[in-house]
Amino acid sequence: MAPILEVKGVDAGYGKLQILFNVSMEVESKDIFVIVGPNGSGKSTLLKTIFGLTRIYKGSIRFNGEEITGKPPHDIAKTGIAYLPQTDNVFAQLTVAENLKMAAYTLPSDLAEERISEVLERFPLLKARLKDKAMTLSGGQRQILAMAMSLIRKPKLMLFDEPTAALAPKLAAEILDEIIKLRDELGITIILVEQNAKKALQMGDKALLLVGGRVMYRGGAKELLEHPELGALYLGLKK
Amino acid sequence: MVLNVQLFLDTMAYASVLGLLSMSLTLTYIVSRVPNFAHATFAAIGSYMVLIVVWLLGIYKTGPSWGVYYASLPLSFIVVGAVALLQYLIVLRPLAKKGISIDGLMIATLGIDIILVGLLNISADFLEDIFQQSPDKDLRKLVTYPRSGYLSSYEPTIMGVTASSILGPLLLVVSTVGFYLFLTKTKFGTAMRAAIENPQLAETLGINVNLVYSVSWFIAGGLAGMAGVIMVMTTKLNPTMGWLLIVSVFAGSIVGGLGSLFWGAVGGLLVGFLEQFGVYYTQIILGALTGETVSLGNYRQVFSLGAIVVMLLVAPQGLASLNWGKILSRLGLRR
Repeated sequence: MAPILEVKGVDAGYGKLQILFNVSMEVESKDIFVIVGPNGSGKSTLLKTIFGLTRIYKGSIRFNGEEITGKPPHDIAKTGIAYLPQTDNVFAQLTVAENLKMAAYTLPSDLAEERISEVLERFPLLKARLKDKAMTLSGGQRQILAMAMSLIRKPKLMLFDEPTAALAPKLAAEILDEIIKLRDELGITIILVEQNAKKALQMGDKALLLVGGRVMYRGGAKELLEHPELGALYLGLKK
Repeated sequence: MVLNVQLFLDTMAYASVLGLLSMSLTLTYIVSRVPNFAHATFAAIGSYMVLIVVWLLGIYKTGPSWGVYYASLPLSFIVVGAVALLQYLIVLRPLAKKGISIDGLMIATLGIDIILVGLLNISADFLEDIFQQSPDKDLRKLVTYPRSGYLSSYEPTIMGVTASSILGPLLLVVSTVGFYLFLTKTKFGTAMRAAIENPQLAETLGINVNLVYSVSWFIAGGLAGMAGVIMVMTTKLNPTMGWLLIVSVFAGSIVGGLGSLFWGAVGGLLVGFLEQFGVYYTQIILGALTGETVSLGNYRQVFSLGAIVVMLLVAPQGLASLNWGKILSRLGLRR
């Protein structure tokens, strides 16, 4: 089966500052694909590049066989990719209900209502907070809201940028469990950038190790976890 | 005299003008993060719409008429709204896209202000010519109006009270409440708040951020234009009438905290009252001390500048940042 996402020889960055060098990757449908690497190695930039938020100098990105290289983010969103940034991924000044309504902005109103009640079934904690401003939610609840907002558009591929950053370990585990459920129950392909490499590699199918903007490893997630050198060198994993 | 009824009525009109202008200035500030120095001249353009209505509808012949308001409020809303929209689309947005700093954009609004005042001067000349050369004797009497006209002589009264003293506050209340309902109860209004808070996220959700910003500028300009209609009833028509007023408008917005439309309106109202009554009572006090008649009308901006200083010292985030529940209960007004 052809991969759902194909990144080929991509050089990308911000303005004149190149961050990624000749990055290639293939993501199979319904996989959890994990991107790991030391700080500042370009993990987030790679996600942003897929979503059209950086400048691509060279290479190509195809999603579902369709060329999306250089398309603006709102067009890429329409093809079925959702991007969840690390911070500012909800409207803090808007209520939970308003946030969900905005996530359904482009849908016709009856469909919007249907989708909103669907995600509320999935995340009942949001149901109790509909009238509260998003800024009053805890960090974990905010991630859930951000997830719910992306789900409203029924994406085929979700890009998570460190969804557990700044969360307590127990909450972080819950969020990662939710992400696994998205794949298992809804069949959504996941690309995950995660600071906790061990945890991420345990739940992942495939993995990519980025160091200094270059691919150091591409293959099975479990294999990377058990790799004799790479884990200890770059990810702080014990041998 | 402790309380002067006419002064109070005049102040109602003037303070609501400031309320409208401070609120709409705050709107453009929230949207574009640029202090718009052309904002009070927006109001001046609205004021000129009144003169044009007085001329074109023949009100100069018939005397005071409600037509002054019926015609000039919507007209100034549309015309000045369009001016504000053009300022955003032609000048501010392209400059911001090129990465010009806020300071640069601010200077650009100063430039726009100078251009707009220039255009008002040209229009004033043009109107003077038309009036002067008119065969209509009544119209020829208007010849001084484009540069120093008191248009209040054409406004109707309600039970002896000039209409602007009632319409001004009414307009302020209706536009504040209307805008609040628009922002909270409609989908587009909610999208407006979303796009203002986080344009990047809004964009990825398919909200047309550019449209939202354009509508905001149009509404802000429109409100400023309507404020100009009320304003010209309390002051002399002149192309540069915005230049002195802009100080008070900014004072109102800063007192309100530059972050909330409601508090912007309240800030403008407060500064209006402070200026009017500050001048009035200082005149009385100084008059009693010196035994002479003191006239301080030209110093009214001292009070609005003072309000800015006090506000920035006491509560730099403005009235919006104060904990009103606590203050009210301290004062015994709330349990």
